[in-house]
Amino acid sequence: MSDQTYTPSFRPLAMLAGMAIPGLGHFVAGERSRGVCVFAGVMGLFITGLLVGGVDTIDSKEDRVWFYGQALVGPATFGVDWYHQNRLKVIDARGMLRTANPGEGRGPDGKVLAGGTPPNSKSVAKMNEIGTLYSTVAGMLNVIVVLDAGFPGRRGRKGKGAPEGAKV
Amino acid sequence: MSPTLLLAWRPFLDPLDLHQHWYLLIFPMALLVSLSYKAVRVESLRELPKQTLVMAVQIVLAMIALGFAAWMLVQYVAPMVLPK
Repeated sequence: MSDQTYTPSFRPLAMLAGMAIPGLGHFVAGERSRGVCVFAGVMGLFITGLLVGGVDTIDSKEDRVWFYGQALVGPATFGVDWYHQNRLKVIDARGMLRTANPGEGRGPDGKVLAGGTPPNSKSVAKMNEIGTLYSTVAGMLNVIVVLDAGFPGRRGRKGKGAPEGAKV
Repeated sequence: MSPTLLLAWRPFLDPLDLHQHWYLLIFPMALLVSLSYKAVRVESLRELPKQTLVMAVQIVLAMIALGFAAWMLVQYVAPMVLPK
């Protein structure tokens, strides 16, 4: 094979690591600074979304289609959703799982209590839309990141596709 | 956001009360999207800050242009096209 030949490599381990934590794929492949920048970008979007719209923006039961996009961030999304469904939502008199209304609290068994402070607030309107958008965009960007971790040659960098300092 | 509401705000549990200034949230989004994208696109990370800023500005300007185009469509083009 000639030196001039451009051969994209495949790094399955980096791809798997990237699926677990954004940027970890680049980090384990030797591109540590790049991994940190990717982590800052993707997780920055995800956390800013949570900060803007609250935990209510990650909801696999009520906003399933958006959740599919958010799930692309990785296990962090599933953890937040689990916490939202099992530790913050309340079970009302009809057995429905929902966010507590103002003036309602959450009992130790998860049932709604009259009085008290709701564990979290339902986000509405623009804040819900923008918060959801932030975390979904984070998930979609993470797809690009995971693909780049798995197929670094596609980037077309100097050195015939091999990233600086990378284990190809 | 009023100071009273800020005091009552529980991060990650309650949404931010930025309903009046929601459009400001385009700036952090543009910056973070650019950072994530350019981090995997640039050849050398030395180019990253400049490339990120350039892309963030492009996103913000494109959004302003799209908003203006949508406003023109609704205010001027649609009334001309639609039957009275």
